[in-house]
Amino acid sequence: MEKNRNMWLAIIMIGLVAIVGTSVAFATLSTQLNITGTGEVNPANWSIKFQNLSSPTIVGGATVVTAPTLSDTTVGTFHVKLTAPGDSVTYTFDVTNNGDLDAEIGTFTKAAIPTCTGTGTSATADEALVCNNLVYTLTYTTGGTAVGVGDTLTHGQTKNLTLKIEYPSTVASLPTDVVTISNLAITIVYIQR
Amino acid sequence: MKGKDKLLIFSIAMLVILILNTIFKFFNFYTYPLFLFVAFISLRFLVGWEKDNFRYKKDSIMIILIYGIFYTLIIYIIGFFLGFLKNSYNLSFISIVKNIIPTILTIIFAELIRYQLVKKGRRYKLILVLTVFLMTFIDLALVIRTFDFGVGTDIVKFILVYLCTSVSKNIFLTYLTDKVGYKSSIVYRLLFEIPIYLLPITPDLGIYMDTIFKIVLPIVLTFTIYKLFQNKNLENNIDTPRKKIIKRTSLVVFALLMLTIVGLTCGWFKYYTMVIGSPSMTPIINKGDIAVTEKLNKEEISKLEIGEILVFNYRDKIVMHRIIEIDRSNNKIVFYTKGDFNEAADGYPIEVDDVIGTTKFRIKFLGYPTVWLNETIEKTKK
Repeated sequence: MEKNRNMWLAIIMIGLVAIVGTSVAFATLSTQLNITGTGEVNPANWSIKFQNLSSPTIVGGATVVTAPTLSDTTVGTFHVKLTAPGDSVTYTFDVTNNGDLDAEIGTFTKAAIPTCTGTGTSATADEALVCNNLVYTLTYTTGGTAVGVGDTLTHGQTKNLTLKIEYPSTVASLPTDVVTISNLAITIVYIQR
Repeated sequence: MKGKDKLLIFSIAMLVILILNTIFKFFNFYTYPLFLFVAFISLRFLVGWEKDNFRYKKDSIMIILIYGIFYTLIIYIIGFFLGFLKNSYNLSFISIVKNIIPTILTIIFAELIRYQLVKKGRRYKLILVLTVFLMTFIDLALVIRTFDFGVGTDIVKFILVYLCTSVSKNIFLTYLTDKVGYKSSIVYRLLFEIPIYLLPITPDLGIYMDTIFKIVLPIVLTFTIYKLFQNKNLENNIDTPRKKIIKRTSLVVFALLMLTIVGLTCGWFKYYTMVIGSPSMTPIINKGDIAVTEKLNKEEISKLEIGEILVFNYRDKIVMHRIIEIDRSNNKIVFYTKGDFNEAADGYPIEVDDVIGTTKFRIKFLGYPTVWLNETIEKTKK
């Protein structure tokens, strides 16, 4: 029995040394570690969900080609078609903190200008026209302020967000050919406050 | 009143309160330890307290520490290849204290309740089974309230990710407590439930492999503790050499089969399996079949030819259609595809970045349970 315990103690020590050694190696390589997202949380105390996606509010000749889907943490890919200045599509949805811990937005990722890919002979000019004028915003429905890092969501709180895509009526002209717009993904990561 | 009856009444009362909690949400993360403390005191008043005088406590704690250390080492090395996730919890000293203290208290009081139920009820199988059931409910009492059981995906996620892992853990901990008392169980839970609040990064194993590890580890530990006690009682070790060989061979074959299934499902390796949910590639690949896909790098993608079955991402879905045209102009490769059973081609270009790989072969019918579950979940979506 004593011999077994000594063996196990030795194994534990080897394991601890291996962990310390690996930690040192990781620390050395820390700038090269691949951080893919935010980690597992304990749903006993942390629960932030997207809910209640509205029907689209359509202005002008805009159409919804593919409607978005909503899961707890994702507003899925959607496609809209804007055909004239003033066209817009607007969705609202709730973000709710059902957990016991206060949260704040730790990371908010949204491209300042999306990527536009034109077609035809005036592709470059069309790309600039669309991308420089397209309005793509995520704001709080109450107050209209833009969503950003540091925004708080206390436990039990629900905030309604507005997602809007618009080709403003102030733009005088349309592109001569079809322009595909990409790089519109928005990522919101909540962390404990 | 007999001891068994007292234990039954206590267990049923606890279950009723916890079920009511899922509706009325009496407790939160901070008040739950207080409830468990009151429950522990009540149980002690009902059935008394016996000192923990089990043998082999140190041995079992050592086994748990060894498994914990090497498990941590293995998953962090895996993380080096797959990536890491940043901790969502605040790592300031005050936040760590606020997060850890309720967790530690919950663990201690829950394990003391388990110890009393097992110690006093070990003669009755019903009490032991009820203990596993009750302790699983105690484990999940605060988790249940965050799920919407009207939505199929929430139900499936709760059952697979939380219920199955909790049942596996609680079977192990109840067995462990029965054999060596409560201290080993507390050590196990502290080792595996506290780090989430302390470590700045955790390995990105993916939800599937994370769940598999959490189900398998307690099973392996249960087996290890069982062998520990079997070895202590040598007179019980009466297998003939032939029987030993059969047992070991069966175990090895079973383990290899499980490893193959998990390896193909997790998507970590070159080949992985996908269930076919639509009939667009009938008759080559039918709805309900499992397709084995080979993941390709950019160089391998550039060598693809017309006629191969391409697997690619399109609008948040994975599609498997046949290549009908490849455009290699402008130093770019773009694929055009069509499902064999579809009348028209897909009509959209697929770029190299969207390509996952190609389908190598199919296994008939095995995917039907997954297709059925997916269609059932789709019907419940809002």
